[in-house]
Amino acid sequence: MNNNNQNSRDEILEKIRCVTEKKEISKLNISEELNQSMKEKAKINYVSDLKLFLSKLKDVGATVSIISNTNELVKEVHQYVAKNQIKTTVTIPENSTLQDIDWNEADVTTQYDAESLIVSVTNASMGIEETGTLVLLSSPSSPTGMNFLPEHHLIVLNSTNIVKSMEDVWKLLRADKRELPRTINLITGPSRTADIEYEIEIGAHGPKKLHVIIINE
Amino acid sequence: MQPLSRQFKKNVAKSIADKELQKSLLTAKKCLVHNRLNAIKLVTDFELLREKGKQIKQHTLSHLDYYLEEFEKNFTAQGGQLHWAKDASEARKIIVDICKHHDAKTVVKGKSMVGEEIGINEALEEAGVEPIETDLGEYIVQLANEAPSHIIVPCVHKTRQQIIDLFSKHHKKYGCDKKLTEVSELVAEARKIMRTKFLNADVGITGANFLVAETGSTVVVTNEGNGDLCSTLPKVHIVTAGLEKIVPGLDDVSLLVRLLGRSATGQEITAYTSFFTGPKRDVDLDGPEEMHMVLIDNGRTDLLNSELNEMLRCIRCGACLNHCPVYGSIGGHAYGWVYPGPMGAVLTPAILGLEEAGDLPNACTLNGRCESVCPVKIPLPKLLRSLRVRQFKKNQGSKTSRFALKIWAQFAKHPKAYHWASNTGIYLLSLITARKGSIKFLPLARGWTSSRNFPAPQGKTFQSLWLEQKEKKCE
Repeated sequence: MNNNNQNSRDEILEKIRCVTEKKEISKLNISEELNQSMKEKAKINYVSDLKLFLSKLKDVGATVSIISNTNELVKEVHQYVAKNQIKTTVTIPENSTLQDIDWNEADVTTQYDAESLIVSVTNASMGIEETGTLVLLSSPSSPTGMNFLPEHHLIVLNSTNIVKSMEDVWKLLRADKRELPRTINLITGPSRTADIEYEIEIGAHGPKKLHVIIINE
Repeated sequence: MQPLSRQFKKNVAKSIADKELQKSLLTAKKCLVHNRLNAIKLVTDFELLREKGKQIKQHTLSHLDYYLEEFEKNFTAQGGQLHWAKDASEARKIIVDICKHHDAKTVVKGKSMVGEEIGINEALEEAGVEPIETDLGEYIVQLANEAPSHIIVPCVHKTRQQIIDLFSKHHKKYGCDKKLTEVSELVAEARKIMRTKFLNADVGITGANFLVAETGSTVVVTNEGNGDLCSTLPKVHIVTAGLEKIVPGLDDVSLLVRLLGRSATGQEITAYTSFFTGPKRDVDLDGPEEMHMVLIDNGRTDLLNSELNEMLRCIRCGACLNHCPVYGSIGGHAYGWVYPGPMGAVLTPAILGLEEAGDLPNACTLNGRCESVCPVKIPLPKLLRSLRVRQFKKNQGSKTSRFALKIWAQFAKHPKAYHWASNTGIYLLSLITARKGSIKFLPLARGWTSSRNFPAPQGKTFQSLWLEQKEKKCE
């Protein structure tokens, strides 16, 4: 920050203090009081019944398939590729658990190339039942571009990681004492726009199709 | 952007005569009002949610210095570079300097109202940097060389045919010469052209829906995914945000997101809600190497220090625009600057001054619909009235209406005179109407009678009826 900027900072804060200092310092944690969920800080609400989550996913235009273990993943991805007549390579992230799977002769690469990415398969850390949302945290095994560049985004989610609301996600991250990653993407359905005459068009700049594969062991 | 709010009346006449615009406004209103209603029906207690939203924002404003410093601490701890800007010109300079420092040729931009407010595109162009709007609506208005006319749906005033014509004119240089007809074709073509721009841009600029003091994160809410590409692919990510965007913690974001999507587009949540915390980590495979934040005051601290301070709760959902009969008749451009509708009628004079935008607070029927749909319960009609009071005290506004108000005030202070005058008025009007039920021409009220008939007074005045009631009771 240069000097000039330091002056602006101080001037702005001084002007704000003209107002805030007049007020009694109320409890700063009032916002915590406002949020019921904060009161039960430790308790994370996991969801065991998939019904609502599945119906929310459908509402937002995602497709879903449920498999019973990781071994079925290869077959599932194969089927998706065949069904959608995709002729290009499927990209999976390096360093991820997906890399450990035996993809046997499937056309799969771990080379993430922003310019040619058509189909990606990535792991979601969590799912949110309330809105049918998938939570993806950026990391070396989950580059953010893979969530937005492809036309088809396949997200793998373990059914044990579905929580009730967004607040539960924050509880989990706090419990983990992990630093926040550069990016947290809350993804709800494929990309869309209604900018032209209010006609909802699926597939704006992000994925045209969002397919969720739930592993329900 | 050069404000045109001074010529509000001229703008209005133009908008009302624009048949295409009227058609677009009608569809927009129908869709947005309907979608919101459907979305809030699904919430058990939307009113409680609004009350909580209001409290979170009001609490933050009461301790704004504390939360801004908290944000500063956490944002810089994550490796972000924070810049404070007192006004639009300082903000522009900071952004242009960052772009120049990185020798940027092109900048991809996510939709940002504060970006429009500070006029960043013009400043970048002057500095030889090409700004590219990537939100489809913003891209369309950029091609048309216009300003957005709605804070959520920027090209709400454009018909499909107008967009088709724009694309065929501007996309030839990319080798796209196929005649398009369907919305899906238009979206696909824009996607293809924009993708190359995303991949080659040097800097990405986005706005922010919320800034989280607890973690130093920036929250961006979109449906298209363009904001995420802007903040992920270029080497530098610049966030522009008004300093009222701050909220205490992540849980507050969760609550406000529930209000935002429903109020804006009638979605429970938009397709993408993304939290950015600092630049990419060393081990990450993508993401920007630098993250900058330009925290913009531009009149906000003055607003905080005034009777209009509740306006700073605004989360820019656009619900007040969608429910405003005035906006619904004249569209966004008539307001002459960046923020239209009820929120714009407060913000524009608050930021630019009443001299510049004095007509806006008066272009309101005080019907109260905006306040009743506002997700953070901003008393917009009250704020508009305060602006009118300010205007009166400053001796601004038309001489005729000031004169009329003064005369009215004299009568209002003397009930007997008021009673006599209103009775005489009714008697005179009844002579003109001659039992026709309406009046076609009325001296001193041409503004009314030139476009529609003036309803004839029905029966007696309130005061006369009240007296009669009283007498009846006494009997």
